[in-house]
Amino acid sequence: MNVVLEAKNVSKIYSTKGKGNEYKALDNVSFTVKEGEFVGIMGPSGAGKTTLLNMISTIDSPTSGEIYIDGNNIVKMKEDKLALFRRNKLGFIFQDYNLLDSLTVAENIALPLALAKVNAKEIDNRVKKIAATFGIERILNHYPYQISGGQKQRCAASRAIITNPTLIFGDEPTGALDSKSATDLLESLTQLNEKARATILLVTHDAFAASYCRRVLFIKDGRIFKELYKEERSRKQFFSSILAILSDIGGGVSDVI
Amino acid sequence: MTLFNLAIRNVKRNFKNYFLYFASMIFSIVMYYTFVSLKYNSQIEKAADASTKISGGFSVSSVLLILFVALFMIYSNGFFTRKRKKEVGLYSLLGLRKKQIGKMLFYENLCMGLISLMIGILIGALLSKAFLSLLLVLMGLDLHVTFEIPVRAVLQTFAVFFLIILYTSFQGYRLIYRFKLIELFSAEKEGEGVPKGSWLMAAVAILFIATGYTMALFFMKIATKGLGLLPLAFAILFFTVTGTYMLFHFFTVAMLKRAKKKKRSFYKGMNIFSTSQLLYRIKGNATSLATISVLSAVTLCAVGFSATVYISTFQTADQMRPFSYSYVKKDKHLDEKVNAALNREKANHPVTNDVALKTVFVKGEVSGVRYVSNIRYMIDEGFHLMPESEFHSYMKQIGKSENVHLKPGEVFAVDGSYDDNLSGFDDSYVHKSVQLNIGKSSMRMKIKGAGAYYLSDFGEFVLVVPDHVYDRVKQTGKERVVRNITVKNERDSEALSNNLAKAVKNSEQYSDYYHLFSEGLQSSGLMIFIGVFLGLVFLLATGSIIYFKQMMEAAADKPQYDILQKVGVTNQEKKRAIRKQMAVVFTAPLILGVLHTLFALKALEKMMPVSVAIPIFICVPVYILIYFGYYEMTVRSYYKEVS
Ligand SMILES: Nc1ncnc2c1ncn2[C@@H]1O[C@H](COP(=O)(O)OP(=O)(O)OP(=O)(O)O)[C@@H](O)[C@H]1O
Ligand SMILES: [Mg+2]
Repeated sequence: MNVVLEAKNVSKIYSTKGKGNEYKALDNVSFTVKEGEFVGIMGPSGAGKTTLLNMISTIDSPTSGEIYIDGNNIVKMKEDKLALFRRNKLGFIFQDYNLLDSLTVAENIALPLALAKVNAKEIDNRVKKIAATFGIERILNHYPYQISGGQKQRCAASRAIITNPTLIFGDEPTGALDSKSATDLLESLTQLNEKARATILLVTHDAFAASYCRRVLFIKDGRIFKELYKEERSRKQFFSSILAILSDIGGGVSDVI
Repeated sequence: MTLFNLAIRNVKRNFKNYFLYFASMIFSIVMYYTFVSLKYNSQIEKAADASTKISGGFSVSSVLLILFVALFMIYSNGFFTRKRKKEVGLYSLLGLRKKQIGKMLFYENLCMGLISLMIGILIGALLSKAFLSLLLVLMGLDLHVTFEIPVRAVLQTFAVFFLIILYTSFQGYRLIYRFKLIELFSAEKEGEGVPKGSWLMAAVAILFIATGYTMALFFMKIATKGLGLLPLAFAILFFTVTGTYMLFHFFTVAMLKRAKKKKRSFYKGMNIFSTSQLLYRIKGNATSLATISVLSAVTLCAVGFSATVYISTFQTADQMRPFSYSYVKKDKHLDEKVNAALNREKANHPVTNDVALKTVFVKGEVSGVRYVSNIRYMIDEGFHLMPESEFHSYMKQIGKSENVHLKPGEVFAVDGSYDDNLSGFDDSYVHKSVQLNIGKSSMRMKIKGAGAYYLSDFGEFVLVVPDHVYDRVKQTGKERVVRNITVKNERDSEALSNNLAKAVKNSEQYSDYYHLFSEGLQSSGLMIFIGVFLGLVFLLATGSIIYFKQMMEAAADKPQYDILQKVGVTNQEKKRAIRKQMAVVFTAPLILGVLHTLFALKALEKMMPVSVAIPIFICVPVYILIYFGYYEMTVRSYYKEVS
């Protein structure tokens, strides 16, 4: 199988302007993701998960290191090219939803399709279909300030996958969901992964969500701490193995409860 | 850390905000000072004729300027404090007492105000000489001016702005008391939300504006048939201004909502965002946009009106005084005196035409007509008669022609103020009969037609009569001979004109081009100066208001643009979307303002015998150009702010 994503010695240093305070959020991280993989990323709060996701999803650029997507070095790409790349290839479910205040739920979900100049009828149909999958048909004409956190998250997820992207990143996509909605979302993602062969990277604190993945990377203090494959285990078994590692790292479990 | 240190650090950190606020305060002060310093300038007062009330013209407009400048400063202050709500909330959170924070803001604003007051007056003083020279050129005064700082102007500026600054400082003091902490932190989110549009109200708005426009178009007709000038003017103002506000509140919303329903264009690239964004912001924008639209109209009207009057000064003088000099001939002695005076100025003002107009005056009236617009007729209640043959040869001499073939019993009116289109006030006397009292008998004749010519500088009402009638009249009345002289460069013939006036005025009827022209130029020059000055201030201020408003929104919308970036919107697409949004925000009030202006000036055209075409073709493009500059600047800053 082809390598879709390759991170080579990626580091990220946050420095507060002028003050000289430096913080190393990512420290020489390297890994590869193959086409059609479903990868989980776990780790305690502040470990650098969001930072890592931002790097590999082209939203932010690393201080050093290289990142290849489909063989292209995205660190060297120009901003406008990156934007088009994001629009056409990636779907991103953000930790803080990132919905546009001035757009209704339907419009928010339709945005990527509109940008891709898909025709209006088709947009309407696809929005309706995906809204039904996530049970948000009733709030399609609401504005983000009128809906709950979980609904926002479902809206964000709908927006991320409506274009059938080949690469999906989720930053705690189930963080604000009840177990039913969370399972629905995870099932949808699994479907996309299995049927449409979408490659998925999921950041999560939740061992249940992680158990849907086929491989889990554990991050601590900006480094990859451990890597766990599901292999032939059932989801339940995988779930317990994940829990075991989490308690090893510490911090992770207490975040969930 | 002392309060003072804290305040200094504030200034450093928010330099851009402070700079904008400073700049708008200084701008207001410079403009006001410049204006009043002209009002109190001693040299210009001396140079202008006593009849032109310089300070009078300035007084009314300076009140207008105060009002406007005060509003503008309060607005910029509001903009500035809004930007700082969060910071103030932070101090409060850090445990500073409310009173301390209030005091800090008060002193900070007061200091900034006083500093800009000093800088403003200084810049104003430097600028005032340039403005003074411009004013003198426009008024046609040839005067060498020296630098002057009128004490009264400084005092007045100081007093006015000290009060305004005190007020804004007090607003700053109250900021912390006015809001709850939570409100201070969410300063930028307040007051938006998607409004309800209403086609009904939109229709009412359009109806209002249409009513105002119709009234303007038929201004004279309505005014003379009942309503009266002033009530009608107010009615027009009411309908258009109310209509404008309603239009922006309801029509724009309805339009945007409609645009959203048109899925095919709405779902096309960034339209989905721009349209929604406009709709989302319209509630907070509608009032400002309407205000800007009205202000644009006021500005353009003021400039257009004063420019019209200025241009018409030249036209009217050329028209009403076709000759440089006209005087009634008396004896050889008087003619010699005149010739001598003309000879002395032969080098600069050679005589180019010298014709004699012979008429006989008779009493008489037009039956069935209360009055005609010709003032001389109203004073004399009679006509100057001239024979048809003489009329033709005279017209040839002054380079004009008019086909008059009188049948027996017919006369032809030559009346400079005749106008077949205008006639709002007076009934036309053409085709009516006229009664002429010749000696003891009287005769009735029919007015065949009228021509709008001034035959001399006296502007008299002349009747052309058949030659045989004139021969009869000549036996009963004395023939008067008017000598009409044209010289070169009459517009700057001050010395010659004064000399001739002195030579003739006391003994005989006399009139000249120069005095009418220079007096007209002085008052209309002053007027256009004030008009353009106020126009410029208004324009700069309205431009700044839109700019401020948009920058405020840019700051609030930055997260939205970050999201767009993350979703994969290119910078180019963002730029284009911003351009589109700003284009709507800028052009909507501009188009409406220009429309208002066109109709207002059309109404003016109905009232005065002037053409507003030239002012419109100059003022509107210039206005649009400057306005466009603001648009470009705003787009650029907006983009910079959100990326
Ligand atoms: N823009 C930034 N500037 C400075 N420091 C930052 C910035 N973003 C993140 N950090 C720091 O980098 C570290 C990693 O942050 P990151 O958001 O990646 O954590 P995370 O693993 O996603 O945590 P969580 O599970 O709570 O979302 C944190 O210590 C955070 O304080
Ligand atoms: Mg995170």
